[in-house]
Amino acid sequence: MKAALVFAGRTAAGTTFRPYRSRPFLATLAASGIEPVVVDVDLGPDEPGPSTPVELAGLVGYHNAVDRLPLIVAQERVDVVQTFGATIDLAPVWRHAARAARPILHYVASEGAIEDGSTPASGLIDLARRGRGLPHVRARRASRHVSALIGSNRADIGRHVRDGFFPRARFSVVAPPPAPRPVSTNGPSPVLEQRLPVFGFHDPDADPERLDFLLRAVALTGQTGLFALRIAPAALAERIALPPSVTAVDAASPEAFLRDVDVLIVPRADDRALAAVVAALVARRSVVVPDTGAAAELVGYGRRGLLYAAGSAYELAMALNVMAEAWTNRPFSFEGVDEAIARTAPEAVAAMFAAAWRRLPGRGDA
Amino acid sequence: MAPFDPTIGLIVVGRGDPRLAGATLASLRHWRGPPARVVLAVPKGREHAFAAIAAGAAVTLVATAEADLLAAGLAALADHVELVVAAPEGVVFEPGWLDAMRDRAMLFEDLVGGIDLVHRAVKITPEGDAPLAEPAHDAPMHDAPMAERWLLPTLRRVVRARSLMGALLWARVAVLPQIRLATAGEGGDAIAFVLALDQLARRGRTEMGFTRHARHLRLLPERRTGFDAGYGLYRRLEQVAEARRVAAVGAPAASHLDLRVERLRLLAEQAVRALIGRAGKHNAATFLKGALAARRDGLAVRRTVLRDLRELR
Repeated sequence: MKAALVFAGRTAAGTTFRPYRSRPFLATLAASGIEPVVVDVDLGPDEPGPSTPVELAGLVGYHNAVDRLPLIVAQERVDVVQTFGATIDLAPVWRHAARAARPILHYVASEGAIEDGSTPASGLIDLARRGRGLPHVRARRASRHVSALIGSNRADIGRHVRDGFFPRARFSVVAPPPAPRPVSTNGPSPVLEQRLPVFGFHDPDADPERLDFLLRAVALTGQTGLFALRIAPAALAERIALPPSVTAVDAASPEAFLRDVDVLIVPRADDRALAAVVAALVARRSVVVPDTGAAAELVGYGRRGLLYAAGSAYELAMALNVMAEAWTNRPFSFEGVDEAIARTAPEAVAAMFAAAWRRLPGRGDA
Repeated sequence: MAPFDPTIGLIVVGRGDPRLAGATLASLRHWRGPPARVVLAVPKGREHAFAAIAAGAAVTLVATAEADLLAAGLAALADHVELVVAAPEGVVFEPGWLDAMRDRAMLFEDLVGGIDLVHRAVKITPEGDAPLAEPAHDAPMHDAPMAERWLLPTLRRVVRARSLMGALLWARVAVLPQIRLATAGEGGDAIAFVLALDQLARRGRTEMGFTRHARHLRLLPERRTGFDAGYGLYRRLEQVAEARRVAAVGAPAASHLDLRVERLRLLAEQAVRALIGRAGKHNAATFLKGALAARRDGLAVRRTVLRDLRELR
């Protein structure tokens, strides 16, 4: 069986989609009898596609304009077309791929997912909404060519479907974003020496908006001296003025950062935060995550970590207070955490993709 | 990958009539695979009325406060099942319902739950307190007259308030932690289900629609006054609308139920029944009076609050 992995749009070269062209992912596909063909698509002269090299040697790869996609699909005789990228960008990809008459699957990630609308609507109502316009309507119309969905989490797929996307999807599969298995750092907790829990915030993208949200929540807790906050990377401190109780540190990896942290705080529902959450759970550190998205699914919606309503600084403040007050007597357990983490291994995620592709009717045999 | 074949648990919310709860439990024999566990959740103090049914049908009886019926039922099931189905007493399953629900849950992993509104009703006049004769509500629908089979259900879909309809809720147990499952008084099950589904919508895809594979069993004649039910239900709708308005400052949250339309439907349908209905005319008229009294009281309270706020300035 042959599958075309099509990467297109502004976000396709980002950290969210990079694991799907990484060596462990592609090698597992190849081992399970699937021949992947990586296609990087330019949507236009101003919107070049990703040009990240594929990590697996000997793999067939293309980089071409979007209108060449049907030719590539026909020439390579692929059985399924798997698309990666922001939903709004992919309308031309789906339209052209449909001309090749092969089943199309789309991967829904938190990056590039559509924003939540207050009420489901269609047609002209969308145009009147702020932030939505013709590209949104076009993408929704083109999404009817998609035969099935794979998503990093239920919430983002649900948001698309509520907004009228993918009306002809015959099934959906939830495959968590791949996160490399971190080295276990299950060491003693620093609180034993310090008698004060250390909360940590790790953001490799160094997005000041997320830190600003977290600092607002910390201010809303109305507490001082209950916990210490440590953030990484230190570059964040240059962008935002930090309160005196917050320390900025540099850490080579999430595991290194978590050695001196008791509780990991995730201030936004984002697939990119999953690597840090996985590292925290492997090290048996407590986590505070939003109640939606891949991280919430990893912590079993509150079974293995504390939840707060996503986007609410007040709710995050309340969760911080609960964690600071009762963190030695955690209101959750780590039961089943190893199974949940095992599902995020790139090999396991690749197996889910392969199984989903094989469910489509009309595919050729391997 | 092995196909997902979920184990299913059922919560029957019993309120007042063991005959209706018995009919719901009896309809489970249509299911090709019986549910792994069945819980009959009843208000505290009413256990004795349901004890015989619970013993006969081999179900777990859970008695708790009325507001916690659903939550207590779920607590009794959660460790043993993957999908939970909640049905109020009097909703009778047909063979196709479970298969349709199971297929959806297996095909769409992002689907976290759904509500099926039951717009097909069966009205029975029982003889005394004897258990219901099963064929009366179990006969195939295609044998029923055209009006019962097609016309009345279609009308109900259009005009009937969703909070008065029978409803079935199903959800994945894995996504239910920290979801508030509060039930209301009699007749408020659909509202309780909708409130739960609104919370679940943040976690994944949800569905709400009508099902042809279940029937809502109602016992006639309804001689009770409907004042308390009308007052309670309308008041609850107003409270939910108020809570939603306060919670959604700036960004109104999506909901599966438009409460303004719901209140309008509630008043309009009961007015029509009170005017041209046959059975239950008195009940409809008193229900309408109760709903209007609740509306009046709500307005009076709002006016008083506004006046007090004005005086504070």
